[in-house]
Amino acid sequence: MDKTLLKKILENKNKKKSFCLISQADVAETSLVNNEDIEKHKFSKLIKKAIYEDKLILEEIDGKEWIFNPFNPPVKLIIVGAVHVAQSLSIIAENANFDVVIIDPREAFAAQDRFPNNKVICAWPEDAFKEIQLDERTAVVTLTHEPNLDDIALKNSLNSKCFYIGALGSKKTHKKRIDRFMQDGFNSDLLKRINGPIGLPINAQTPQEIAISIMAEIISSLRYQKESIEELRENWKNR
Amino acid sequence: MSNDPIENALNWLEQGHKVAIATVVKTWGSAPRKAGSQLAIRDDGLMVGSVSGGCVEGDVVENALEIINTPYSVKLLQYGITNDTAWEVGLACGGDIKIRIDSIQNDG
Repeated sequence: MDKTLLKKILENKNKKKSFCLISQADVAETSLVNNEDIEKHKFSKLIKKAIYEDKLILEEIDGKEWIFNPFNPPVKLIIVGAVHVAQSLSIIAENANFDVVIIDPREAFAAQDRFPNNKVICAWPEDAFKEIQLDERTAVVTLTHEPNLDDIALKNSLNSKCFYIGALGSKKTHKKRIDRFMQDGFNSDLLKRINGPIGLPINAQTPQEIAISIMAEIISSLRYQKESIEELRENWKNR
Repeated sequence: MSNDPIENALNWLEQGHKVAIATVVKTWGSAPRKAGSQLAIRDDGLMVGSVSGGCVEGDVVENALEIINTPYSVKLLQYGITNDTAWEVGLACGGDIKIRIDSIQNDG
């Protein structure tokens, strides 16, 4: 590896697209395959696997060991509601290398001074969501308690591939939310994607503690296989 | 200071330091950091990032310093409870890890 390669790595990281470093295990020469060139690369299958699994692959090919080291853009966290919990949540998410965006049309909440290190969009969710791609590496959290703000964000999320959807609110509030959404034509299986009440049950009391329970739930969704997470969640919630 | 190993490695090179980067290339069993995790090492021993829970970093830095003056070279290391050095620098968690160290060429 040389300095030119390190510069290329940083440039590609800043573009927020996936890329991969490839080398033989015991050879210094390392090449960077950027996002556009993956498809036509002779090892495209392994590159895509490494990127998809977000994990380095060491593979023997024709008697030689090769390293495929993937780099993915940070996981996105979209927070609707620039409330007290959002302030704590944005700090711990940022520290866990998430790319955080906060949305709230209420100017008093969406003040940039309240979120010095994050992007704050002062707009209604339906407008803000037009400029945000909700992909497999996106989590959406709604914290406003206001159906007219939270619902539109949740409906957008339900129609997307985002890996996590969480909504603040008591069991009662969540039940009402589910009833509303069913009347609007969402089926009950799809609505199970919404984690409500939000967060792992650690009996959180303060906004800071609630932020930790939310973050823990987001990470569990990101890191566990889909099948095991549902079982675990049942056990957690019934504790 | 950013905690990104690559960013730090680049800054150090620009300040005239010699630099090495260690990468976890394989794990078996319960390893503390997943494959792909990186540790940047400066010629005075300063490090940023991690390749384990702190169990083997000291030894990785020593190995890195051995090759840091030979830019564009590679060293492979393996740690685990089956390793001879287990009692000194092995992994308490019982996992095995393989690490590659690259000494970085400062090509201007």
